[in-house]
Amino acid sequence: MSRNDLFSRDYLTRRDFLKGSAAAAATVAVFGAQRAQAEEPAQNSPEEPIRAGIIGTGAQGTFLLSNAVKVPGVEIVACCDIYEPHLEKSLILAPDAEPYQDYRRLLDRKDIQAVIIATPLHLHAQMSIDAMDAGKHVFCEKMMAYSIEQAKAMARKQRETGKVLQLGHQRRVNSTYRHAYRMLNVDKVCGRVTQVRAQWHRNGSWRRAVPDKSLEKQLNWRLYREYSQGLMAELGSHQIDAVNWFLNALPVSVMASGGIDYWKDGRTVYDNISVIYEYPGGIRCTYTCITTNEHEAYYEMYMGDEGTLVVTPEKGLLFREPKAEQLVWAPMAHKDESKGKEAIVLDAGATRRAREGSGQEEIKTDASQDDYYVELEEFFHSVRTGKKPASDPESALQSCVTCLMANHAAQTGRKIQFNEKMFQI
Amino acid sequence: MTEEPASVLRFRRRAMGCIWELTLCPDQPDAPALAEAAFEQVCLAERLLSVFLPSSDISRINREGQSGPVKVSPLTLRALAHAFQLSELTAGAFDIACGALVRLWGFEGGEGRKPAQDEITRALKCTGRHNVMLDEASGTVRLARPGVRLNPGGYGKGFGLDLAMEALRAAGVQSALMHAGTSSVAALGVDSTGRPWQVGIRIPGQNEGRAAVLELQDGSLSVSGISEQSFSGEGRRFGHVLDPRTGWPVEREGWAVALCESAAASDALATAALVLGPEGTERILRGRGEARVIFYDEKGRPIREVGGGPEPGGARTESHVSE
Repeated sequence: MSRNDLFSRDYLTRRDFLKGSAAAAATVAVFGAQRAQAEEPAQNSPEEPIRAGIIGTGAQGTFLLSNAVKVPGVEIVACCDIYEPHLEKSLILAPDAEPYQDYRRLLDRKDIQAVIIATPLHLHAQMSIDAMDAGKHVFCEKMMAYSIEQAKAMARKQRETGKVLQLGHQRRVNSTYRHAYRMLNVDKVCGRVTQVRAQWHRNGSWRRAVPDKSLEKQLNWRLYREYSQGLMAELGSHQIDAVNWFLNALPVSVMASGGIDYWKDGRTVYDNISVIYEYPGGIRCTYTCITTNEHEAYYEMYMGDEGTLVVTPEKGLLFREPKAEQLVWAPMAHKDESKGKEAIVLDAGATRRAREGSGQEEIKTDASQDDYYVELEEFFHSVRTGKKPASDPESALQSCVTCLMANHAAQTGRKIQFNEKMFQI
Repeated sequence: MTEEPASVLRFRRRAMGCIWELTLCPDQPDAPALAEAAFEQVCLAERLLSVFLPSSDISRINREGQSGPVKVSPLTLRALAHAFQLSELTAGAFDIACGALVRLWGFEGGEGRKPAQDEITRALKCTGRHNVMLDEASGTVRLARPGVRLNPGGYGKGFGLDLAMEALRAAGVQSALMHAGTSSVAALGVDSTGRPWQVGIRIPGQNEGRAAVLELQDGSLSVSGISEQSFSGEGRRFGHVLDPRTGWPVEREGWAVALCESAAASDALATAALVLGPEGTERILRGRGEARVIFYDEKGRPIREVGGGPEPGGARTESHVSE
């Protein structure tokens, strides 16, 4: 069998594979291809395409890239990574992009309007600031920055340049979260919220395979404190950002405890951390992030005197307290059973549609798109229109401060009091 | 489905409605991280191709593709282009543009039902890769008419295995075995004893001790048979493997085991072989190198082996060893 045969795995990596197959497909579907050309242009967007580049094409960057190339009206024209295998992989996803190993050369290109940054945490601030200085709009992965000062510098640069700066807190665009937010805050389905519990539990080392020991810190940067703020930054910030958002509040204090207690493999960031935040009004949020047990994986749970709302990107569940009055629309809602209790399922719009008869406004939500795609679509929409993204520098700075202070509390063993100044740009 | 040396590292993950299992040698450095990387690829395949995830590229194409071009991931485009080439090779015996038929017969997550012939005739008009246009320049997919649906059954799990194997190979792994449920398995190199990986084929309803054992080295193997999922009606049993050319379930008893390097291709080839039978399969594999198919009867007895031409390179799958 020849290596180029369709029975081999070459179809995944050969750069010219699609060219040949697309031509073959066009031959077979002549009618369809001609009609497609005649009826509408290949480009979905009526406007000039946005030319964008990506800096950092490792695991997360690749994921963003695979979604960015789907956004109509966007051309990915440049990919940058210092690690060649990652750069090569990105060119399979964006075959027409120019490869770079120095991000400053990418920023030199005048034709690029926007960049996606998915590099290790300690590089977010410098690269974002350089990009905005170079006149580019920026989508930067979360957490916003390695330090509070760096995050503030990014936010200040955004204000100075007027460029779009969007952070990758994708729960802000998730349809279940948007729906759950309304139910908690407008419909008050939990009554008065008094307690929040959230977790992200995994069972794994969080370590990536490295082909050569010299690349350990480059590829496993998440495990080393000089580059990473550990679990609170990489996992916790998604959820703490959501808690700040859902409670419409910032915490007043934090206590925490963490350690390197299981994965004693040379890492210098915690492999588990437990945190207690106090929010105004006596609301407490307990948060745990561990790497040795994945039972119940991840969720945020809002507990109130009338109900409990459990939210994940995939599903939202509402449990009413036995003493609470039945919601008018509850009999019509989609229900499920969880741990022997009946729950109302918040599946992106369905719960709302069930209550149209009650005269309430329907929330238009769309569960049919991947969150990564939706956040990038929103970013490029902001680039076109100047509209503020949902994950803006202000809210991202707040999440960054909230998470970094938990680390600080764990490291010092002290209860930390937040003050307004910490969150001010 | 696999028989491994005594001391191995095993990792499991649920995806695409089944349990995936990766086996690595005990001395493999960074084994947990490699497993994570491999399963990430499986999840990626699911997110791109699953008809059960509304946000997957396939679901978006099925939903929006008749109204206009749908921009998809380049990887999806590659998978579709590959699957369509396999359709052409098998003269339509394997075809992922058969979602209309799959849904009509209730095999897309519903209960099986026998449709009327006029319903089948209508669904057949919406079947076939000629109803799907790929545009590489714009990275889009478009459906030619309303009712056309893609269904990656017989391809998607193999695609996930290919992505995972490619990730492991790129990370320098020389020895690994991964299976997707019980239908497809892919191997890198040999096992920790230096022998080709031993893969047992168990025929449902038969004594497990009578399983055939095949050797696999740098290749993939997929099994297709109609007793895996079926329903009965009007005194007949209807299996889940549909012939996209006639719109009816395949009635052939027994099993087809396909072997080649790519698991996506072996997945598709096993399905096509069940549709085409030994003679038809031999015709399409003539001159196609080492890809081959072994046919078993309903009791698990090997009937015939076709393909496996003399061209060098590619998958080095070893001969049938024993029952």
